[in-house]
Amino acid sequence: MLRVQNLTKVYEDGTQALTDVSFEVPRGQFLAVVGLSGSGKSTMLRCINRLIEPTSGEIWWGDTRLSHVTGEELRRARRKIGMIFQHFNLVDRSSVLTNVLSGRLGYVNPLASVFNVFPRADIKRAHTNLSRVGIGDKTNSRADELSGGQKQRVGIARALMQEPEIMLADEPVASLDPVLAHSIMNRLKQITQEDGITVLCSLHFLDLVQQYGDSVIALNNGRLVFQGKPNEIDDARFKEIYGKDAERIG
Amino acid sequence: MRRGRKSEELSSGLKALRTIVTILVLVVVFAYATEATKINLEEPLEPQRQATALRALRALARPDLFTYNEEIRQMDITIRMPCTAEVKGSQVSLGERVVTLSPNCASTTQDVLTITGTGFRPRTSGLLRWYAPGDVATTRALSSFRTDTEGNFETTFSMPDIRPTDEPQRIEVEEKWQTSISGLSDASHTTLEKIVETVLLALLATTVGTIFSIPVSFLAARNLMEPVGSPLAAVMTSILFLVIGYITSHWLMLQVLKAGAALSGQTLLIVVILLVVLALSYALLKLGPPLFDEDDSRGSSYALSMVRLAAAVALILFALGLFADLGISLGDSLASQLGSWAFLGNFISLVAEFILVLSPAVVGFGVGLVAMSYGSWLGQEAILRLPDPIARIINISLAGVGTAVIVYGLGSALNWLYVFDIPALWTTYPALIGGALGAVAAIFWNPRRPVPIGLISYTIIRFVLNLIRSIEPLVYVIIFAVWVGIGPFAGVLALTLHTVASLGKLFSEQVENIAEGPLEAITATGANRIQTIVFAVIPQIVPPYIAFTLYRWDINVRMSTIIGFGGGGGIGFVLAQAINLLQYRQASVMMIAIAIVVGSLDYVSSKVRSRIL
Repeated sequence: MLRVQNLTKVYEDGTQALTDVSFEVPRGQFLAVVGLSGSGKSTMLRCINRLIEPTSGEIWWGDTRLSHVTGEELRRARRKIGMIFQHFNLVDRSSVLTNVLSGRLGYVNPLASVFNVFPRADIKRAHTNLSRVGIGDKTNSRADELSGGQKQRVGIARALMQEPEIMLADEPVASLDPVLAHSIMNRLKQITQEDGITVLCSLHFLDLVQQYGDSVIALNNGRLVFQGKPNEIDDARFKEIYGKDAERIG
Repeated sequence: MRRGRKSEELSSGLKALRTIVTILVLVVVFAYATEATKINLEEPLEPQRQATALRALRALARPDLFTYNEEIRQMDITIRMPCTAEVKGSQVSLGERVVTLSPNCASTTQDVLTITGTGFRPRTSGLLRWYAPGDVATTRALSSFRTDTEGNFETTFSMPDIRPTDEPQRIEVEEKWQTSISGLSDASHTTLEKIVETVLLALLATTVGTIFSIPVSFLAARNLMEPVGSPLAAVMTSILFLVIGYITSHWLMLQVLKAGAALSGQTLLIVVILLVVLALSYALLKLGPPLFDEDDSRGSSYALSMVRLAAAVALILFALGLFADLGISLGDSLASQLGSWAFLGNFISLVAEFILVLSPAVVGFGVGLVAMSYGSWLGQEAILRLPDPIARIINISLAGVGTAVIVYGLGSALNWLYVFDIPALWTTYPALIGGALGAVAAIFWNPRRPVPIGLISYTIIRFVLNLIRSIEPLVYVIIFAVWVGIGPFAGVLALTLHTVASLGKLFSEQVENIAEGPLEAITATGANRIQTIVFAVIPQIVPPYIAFTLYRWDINVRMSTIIGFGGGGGIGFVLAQAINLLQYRQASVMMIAIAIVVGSLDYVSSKVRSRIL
């Protein structure tokens, strides 16, 4: 169970990004996070793996207090939390294999990894994960030779290398076309279900939310405005989340 | 409304006033600038100076590139001194050449005589020479001439201050012209040799400078350093561990080298021991359970791995020392046998000597860094795990000791530089006071609050880099020439120092420009700082680093052409000499060589750079 309690983030310039956000996600559930751009979705996800430091509030994963671990413990907590990004965030000039293996950095011996030496088991794991996301044949390509969809698959494979318990997905399909988006979401949903990974996925389109989300939370201007099942979002709720001028398009 | 307009009018009036004042100030500044730079028209318009400048320019226009085969033709005419008979002219002909002397005798050395010739080789320079009667060794040059397009000349001369004689005296008319190029002039030979030296000087400086500037650039990159912060106690333990690690491993390495040096001369024994040592370290690393398994718990197997690793490193360092000893003797014996390739042997012994001289410091620094990271971890864990009162006490005492060590170090550095009368006034006492102040300050510091140590180091390193960069290599070379002697080595050192500073800055700006996405992604996997740099930063900065290194080589070649003016060897050294000796034709050859080398390198490096970026 992931528990977020009274999470608040105020940036140094005074921007109130999150205000008193609390929710829970049962283990293995797929939680969709919706809201306008700038509503605090990215900040919320990054507070969970501490790429952004929360100002106050607590985050618990089981009996680990994610919001307060430091140093070595933080690194250990992070390696159990995979993350995929809207812009994939691959290292363009490295090979697909190196990109995927870098997901293992939290586990391997730091000194050996600096010289690009990885245990054989990890290399095997990388091949397996690449096959699972459907691009086992691209192992030796350079990351910048891939198409958008392929890049996101590599991103997922990299996250899977961490053998994560939680997967944070920050608008993973927002820069892909609708057909690719469904294909990637399908794959993500299927793999995370197989591995029992808890997913927090921010999404733009409601049809994706309804198709893949087990439950959904909505943020507006840094506040939690809705928490429930995807099919509970009717037109009234929709206007509450996205503002009264919004039109449903998907 | 009205007030608004009024203020507008006022401001436009003020604006006009401001413009006028600005123009006036500029006029004053430029007027003073011309005064300060002594700009005037008197000296450049002075005929004598113009003639000198013209002479220099004409010499520069005729570079002394080649030596020539020359052809010489002579003919004689006689002259009497003093005049015996009536004064008239005389004429001599030889083949087509006719020389007329008028008058054909001189009474005093003030008499002006005119000599004309026809039928000579057109447009050819010649010389008039007087020979002492019956003595071909005593001669004086009288005058020079140049024939016109028809082969005629006319020139005047007076007799040298000589003893009058009864017999006629001989005057020789000599023409001299160049038929073909016979080879390169001395100036060209020197230039070729020195321009090679110049390019290699730049190459060495760039290579060594780049190697040093890469790690510096990471420390000078704000985006990498800003997030680095650790509790005060961790900072202090890392400083203490760095110092302790450096001092002990520096001392140990010296002992290891000493042990190796005791064997010097016994080549066979050294080789055997070397092999044994290498085999031992291999066994330590490879036999037994693998060192780098997935289990990274800091348990007993981890400790054993670390001990094995440390032992292997120690053995390899011992082997390195032996290897260097071998290298010196090998290099020396090679140098004596290789003849003109002796520099290869010298290179081997030089590298070996470098290893011997530098390894204690390098090893000390390396071990110091490892100890530092361990110390940082230890301090951090201690502060975060222990209950608050104990953490506070540890924090305060570490702050005291750490500050004392830092102050003592700074004081010792000052003492080294200024050699104070009472060193303790600058080292021990300030260290004690500083330590006490540090401890007191730490009382008010929350032990768990991170110190922005990254930002502090970033600021210090940037400041030092800017300081070093602001002084030109031409100035550094003067200091280095005092230390290592005038010559290209001083030039290499000066250029290297400047290269480290300026490439460090340029490189760090490239690091600051990288895409943040991959950095974020790698951090999110639980990678540590160094892993993040290796996997997310380095792949992104390789192309700009190569491009900037080439660019720097380009700059260094340019610099190395003038570094000789400050005593740094290379082409600049001989160019300065030639100019000081007014040998403009030789200087011209060197300037041409510089233009060719700099120009072509400029072209090549810009081509390669545009392909990489």
